[in-house]
Amino acid sequence: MMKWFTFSLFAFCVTHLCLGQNLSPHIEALAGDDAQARLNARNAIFADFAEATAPSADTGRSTALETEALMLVKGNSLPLSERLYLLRMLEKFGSEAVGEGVYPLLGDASPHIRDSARRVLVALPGQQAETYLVTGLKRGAEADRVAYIDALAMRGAVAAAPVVADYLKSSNPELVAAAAVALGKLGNAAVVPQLLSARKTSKGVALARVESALLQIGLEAPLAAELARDGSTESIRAEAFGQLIPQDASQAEKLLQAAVKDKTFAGRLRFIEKALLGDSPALYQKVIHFLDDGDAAEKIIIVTSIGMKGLRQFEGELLALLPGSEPMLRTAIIQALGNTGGEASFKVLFDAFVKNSKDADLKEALGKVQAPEADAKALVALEKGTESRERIAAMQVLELRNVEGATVLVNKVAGATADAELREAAFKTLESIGDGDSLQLMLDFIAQGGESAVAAQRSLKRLSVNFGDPGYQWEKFYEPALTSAGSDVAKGRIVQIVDSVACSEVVAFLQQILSDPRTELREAALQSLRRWPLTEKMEEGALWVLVGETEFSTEQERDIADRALKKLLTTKGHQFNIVQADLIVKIMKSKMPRDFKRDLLGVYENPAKHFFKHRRSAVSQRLKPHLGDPDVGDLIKNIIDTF
Amino acid sequence: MSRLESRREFIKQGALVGAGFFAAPMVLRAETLGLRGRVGPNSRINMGFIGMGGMMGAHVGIANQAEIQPRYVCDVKPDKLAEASKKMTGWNFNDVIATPDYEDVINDPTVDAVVIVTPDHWHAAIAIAAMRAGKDVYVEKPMTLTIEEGKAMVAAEQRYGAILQVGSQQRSENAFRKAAEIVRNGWIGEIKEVYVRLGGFGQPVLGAEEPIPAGFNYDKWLGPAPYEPHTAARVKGAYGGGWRLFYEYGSRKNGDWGAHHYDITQWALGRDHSGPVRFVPKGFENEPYSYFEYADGIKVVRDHPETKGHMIRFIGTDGEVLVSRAGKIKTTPAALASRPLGPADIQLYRSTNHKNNWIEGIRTRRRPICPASVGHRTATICHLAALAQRLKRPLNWDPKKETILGDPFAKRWQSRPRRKGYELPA
Repeated sequence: MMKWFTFSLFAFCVTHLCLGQNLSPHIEALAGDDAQARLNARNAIFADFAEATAPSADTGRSTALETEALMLVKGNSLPLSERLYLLRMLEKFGSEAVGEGVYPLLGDASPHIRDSARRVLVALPGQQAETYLVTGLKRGAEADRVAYIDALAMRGAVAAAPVVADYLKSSNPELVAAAAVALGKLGNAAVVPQLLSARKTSKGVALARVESALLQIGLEAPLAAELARDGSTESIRAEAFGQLIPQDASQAEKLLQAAVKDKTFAGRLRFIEKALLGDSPALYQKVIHFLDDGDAAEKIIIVTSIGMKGLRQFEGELLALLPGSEPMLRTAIIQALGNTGGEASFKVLFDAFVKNSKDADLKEALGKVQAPEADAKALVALEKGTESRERIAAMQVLELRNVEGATVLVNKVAGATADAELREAAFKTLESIGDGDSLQLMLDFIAQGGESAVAAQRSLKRLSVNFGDPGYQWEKFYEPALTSAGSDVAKGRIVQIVDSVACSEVVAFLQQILSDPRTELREAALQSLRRWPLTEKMEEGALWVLVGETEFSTEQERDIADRALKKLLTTKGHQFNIVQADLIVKIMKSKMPRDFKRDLLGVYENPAKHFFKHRRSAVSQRLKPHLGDPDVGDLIKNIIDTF
Repeated sequence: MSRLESRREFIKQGALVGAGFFAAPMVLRAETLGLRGRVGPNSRINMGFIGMGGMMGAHVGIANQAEIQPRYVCDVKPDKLAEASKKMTGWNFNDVIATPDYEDVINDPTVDAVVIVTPDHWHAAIAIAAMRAGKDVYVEKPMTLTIEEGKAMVAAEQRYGAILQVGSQQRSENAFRKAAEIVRNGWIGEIKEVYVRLGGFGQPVLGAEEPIPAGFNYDKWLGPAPYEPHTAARVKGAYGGGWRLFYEYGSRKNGDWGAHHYDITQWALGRDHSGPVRFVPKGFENEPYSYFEYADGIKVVRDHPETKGHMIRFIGTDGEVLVSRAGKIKTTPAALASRPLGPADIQLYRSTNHKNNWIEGIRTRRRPICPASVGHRTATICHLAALAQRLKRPLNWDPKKETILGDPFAKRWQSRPRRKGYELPA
């Protein structure tokens, strides 16, 4: 002890003198009442220790820091909380050498200091800290023993296992249990004989912990079989069975057989789960036979395990179980088939899907089963089939499974067939798997008019939204289609759905139409504008202002513009606030009648509630220049005043 | 009959209900039975709710689901316990037991499952004890306080065959699954970087010691964490502060939001059973952002300003995916977001309701979408990212051996010695 102290003091002095870094600048703050200063001091001390113990750091500095910290812990200059904090620093950053100074604190008058010192010794490197803990365990109070045993386990003190094992003989079952838990964590096989002895004498919780410890250390086949039969809890029996499987498959099979037959055997289902999660085909077979005899709940568990493990060899058994199965079991089978099924499953699942296309489990499973033949068949059926119904069903398969080559084929069919029902079904399929050619095809059908034009409009809208990148779609497909459309009527059918490619270019296009009193496309443009999707840019706001201020707008159109603008101005969300302020300015500057403007800008009952705190300054900045507006300046002031 | 047998018995009953064998009682209106739409009591999952603070508000509502029978509410704070009790009474659950001791809940053999929504430093001990007692567990994220706790929870999940769901519920949102599938299937090419937005917390509040409110078991609240004098600010549960500000009870923002976004990142990159190899803190050698990287060079950057308003941004050689809560997903090329998956594509575990996925698992023993093995790897990232930040130096991590390399002092933080009386069960 003296040796350590002298060395440490020397190291402290040398480092202090050489490096000039220590804890003293922080002591006053640590001892004071200023919470912020105390926090800063703690943070600074932590940073000092962290820096001093970095892999590249000079060890002299950390020695000095730990020496000083220990002296402060042992002194009386700091309150208890800060002495404990410094002990935590030693726990995290202390060297092997500091253990000698910490050890006496195991006998400190303060229980908090005693326990903190124990925790420091848990963390310190080197054999000596372990020795201190063993001494603490032997000499400490009975009430502290569990904590010491845990400390040795946390350290991974494998060599101390025999000392811990001595407590298996204790008359205190709590101590026996703690010793067993620690031995399980340490995993030292040398103490197995003591654990086996304790198994004979322990009861209840202590017995379960002893058996658990044996399992954690690892069992040989005979003991595994014994615990699988007679373990004190269900999970112990199941775990022992799991350990037995790879060691002695035939014994495991016998046990499983017995478990399966005996409905009163506790842990029977756990055995079955273990058997399916292992790698023994013989055990799988045993379990599968059980599918015939088990009740619905047992079948659900078995089927789920087959699915989780992906045991493809049992596809037939799963399919056999499906007809007439109860809803929960049916769902479990369908999910399992998704993971394990092939061609046969595909057929069964698809037939069910045709009857109920809203079943999400079926849909998911159909998209997953491995059925290349079915895919190929569907492609052939669509290409060469003669019956519409058969070809439509084939398209459903292709859509569900996103089969390679499907999009090209469906485009071809949609373009070539004279059968409107088939064509419209093809459009529907293309809504989710369509490509650029599909866009073009549908635009052509829309421009041409005819019986499929409405279906093409509907599907094109969905495809465009799914396709994304509206700017690209506008430039490559929509705009050229409008340019080449033969009549205003044909153009109008396209203009009606340009909201599905909402972007700045389309706003500019619609602006041209809405500014032109002579165009025939105005109604179509307004239809599209009314369906405009909400985006953070709210670009359509400018168009509604245009409708509101244009002289040739009808009263009805102005009403629609009024409602649309109010909706935009009151849409909730901080992301809209700045765009909303810009829209207010746009409305103010517009040629709208005074009353119209006032009606619009009076829309906020409580502007402070609408505009988020972190947006208000940007909103004010935009609105302030317009405080003097003769028409609505007072309303602008009302808004800003509430911020 | 053992506890587990009783649960299996329940599963049987549940199956019968699902099977439509419950025909006779179902003929009666639920109101007539006084069950408010519930099925018979024997088919329900008996559930205990542990930790009744603000976050439990997002969970306790499942008590009203037909298949759930709340049995306990538990909190060491008497005010929270009283509030919870009142809530249960308000829902006509008049026989729910209120207790400050979680041991009462897990030692009751009639309880099938527990929902653990305590501060992080209590997650592992309660969860392991519950699994050992044969319960299934829903535990809030991050799953643990330390890496070693995570290993112990994974072992316990396996040993006791428990159905454990970690509350990283973004896995059960369609947009996040879609984003992960796009990334997994290579539709945006090789991933180079991922940006995640976590935000930050203020400094913890120390304050002078304050009297412990009557009936509040402060020692138990501290549990395995180091002793500190009581202050209201320390024990307060608040999304923006309270105990979440202290490293003693969590890993601050890394654990708070990281447990969601790092979790999705791991999922999307297919690293659920592995992890990064290096963690670099912000400020180290002038690094502008904290980041971690995987062995193949993929970098995950925290709070990079270019998340384009989304929570996570995956950047690949052929495109990108931006994803947020409320179903927000944006891809480049844009068509990727709607492209259906083919049978040859990687199709990830599908869950659309995180808690129901757990409940379904209780019935079928199907592994839930976020089991302990997954939650542990995500929490490991949270802890290592936080540690690198605290130590202000990079950390090298071996995801196979699950150990910090070349820095023995940092390695100590993989575990935290526990206070006497709060040892970690096994």
